[in-house]
Formats: sequence, structure tokens, C-alpha cells
Amino acid sequence: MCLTIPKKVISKDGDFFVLENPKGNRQKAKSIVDLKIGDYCLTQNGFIIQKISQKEYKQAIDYINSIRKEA
Amino acid sequence: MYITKEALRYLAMFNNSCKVFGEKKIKNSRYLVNLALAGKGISFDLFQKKLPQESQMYKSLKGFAGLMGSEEINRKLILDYFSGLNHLIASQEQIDILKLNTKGDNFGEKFIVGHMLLPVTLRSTKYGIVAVYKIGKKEILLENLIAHPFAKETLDSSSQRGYVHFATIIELNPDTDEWEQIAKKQEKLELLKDAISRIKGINYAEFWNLSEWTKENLKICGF
Repeated sequence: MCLTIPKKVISKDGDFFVLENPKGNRQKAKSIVDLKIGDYCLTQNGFIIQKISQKEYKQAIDYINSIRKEA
Repeated sequence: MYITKEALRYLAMFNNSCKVFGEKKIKNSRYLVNLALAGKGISFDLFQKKLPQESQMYKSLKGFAGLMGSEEINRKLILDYFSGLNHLIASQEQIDILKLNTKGDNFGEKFIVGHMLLPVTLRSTKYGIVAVYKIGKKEILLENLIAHPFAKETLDSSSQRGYVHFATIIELNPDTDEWEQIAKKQEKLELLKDAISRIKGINYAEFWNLSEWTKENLKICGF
């Protein structure tokens, strides 16, 4: 199972973005898309792969909550 | 960016062995198997465009290729991707987000270990195929494995090296240097070592019902 996880861009550190996941944990990641601080994004295997809207961020969290029982 | 025919075979095997949910991923699994069986490499953009359902996974693979300075997605890149630090960290994050560590019986540790491509020693026994994974001084036993039909050789009764991902044997008798390099790389992954230190092994007939799930998934994919 390789889950795509929605995150918020908190800051930038060199080539890396500092991201916060829905649980409040932070990590650094490289991006293959253009982003700015405050944006929302999807990450997969440590890479930022897509910029998303706040609405899509919330939908992604709802999806994760829905599969938590299935997993 | 181009994906080689060999990489498509490996991607199909990783996809088939990764437990997924819903019809969406099954369609992509079938697509990958059919592409691999066609035996031709293709443009990676075309590969993504023709995916029956959008998948974020392949975008990150392209990002990884860029980071590694690779102009194509080949077998080595796929093995590096699934055996390395990024994949390990992503496993831990999934455990946190989905609260998998609350399921008991060291589910979180087993998820981390199973999720990684592991260089193992395989043996066929009267109880089925078993694998031993060694990291540092610790060894664990992986039981009730399924050999993917794409895995190259038939397993005999003597020990041999191979790669395992979840309950699936991905390859038998890979290049010795490559096998050892992956093992050495994983020796440095503290998160993996820590997870291994807390389990004796994984019996895939019991853990997440993965043996049965893998058999079913392979059947759905036409094997």
C-alpha cells in the first residue's frame, strides 16, 4: 500500500520545502511542482508530486479517514 | 523520460504485491501486467497518460529518477526506489496517519519490514517457501511467500538469494554484487533495523492475510 498524503507547505529551506502532515508532524521534501508557502500539496514516497486546493486537502484527509478502517 | 521493458516487469511485480484497495488500483495492476507482457519499453509520459486511473505513485517515481539523475526508468532505479530511505520514511508516515501501530501483534513493525524490497536467502521447504532476511546480527524468517510468475527461475531445494516485497518473491538469483549493495545500504537504515529488532519474523498467511490476498490479486491480473 502506497498512500498519497496531503500536506501544507510551512516554509522553504534551500531546495527543500518544510511540510506539515495532518497529524502536525513536519518533514522536508523536494518538489516536482511549483509551490509557495501556505500551499497544500500531495506527497508520495517523500516527493511533493502535486499542488492541491484547500478543498482537495480536506477531501484527501476524509479519504484517509475512510480507509483507516479498511486498512 | 522512458521506461524500459524490464522496469515495466518489475513495476508490475511491485504493484501486484502491494496491498491496495478498490477497483481503481486493480485496473492499474492489470494494465501494468499487460504492458509488461507486451515486452516493450515505452515513453513514461505515455505510460502515465494511459493508466486506467490516475495514480500519484508514478509521479513520485519520475521525481526519484530526476533526483538520481537518471534519464530513464530502468530496473535498477525501481529496485533503488523500493529498497531505500524514501520508501522507508513513507512507510512510517503511513503507519502514523492510518494508526497501523494500534492494530497489535507488531503490525507497524511488520508493515515497515514487509513494505521494503528485501534482499533475502530463500529456501523451499515442505511447508512452502521461506526466506531469511539478515540485517546486522539479527535474522528474521519470512513465511508463506508466493513466487511471482514473472520471477525468473524455478526455486529448488537449496538456498539461494532473492528479492522479496511483502509476501511476493520478486526475483531469484539476482546479481550477487547488486544483492550485497542493497543489503549494505539497508544496514544504514536505522528505522528498518529498529523495526526488525522488535519482531521474530512475518508469517504472511497470518499478517494482513497477505498470502491469500496476493494469490487472489495475481488471479485477477490473469495469472
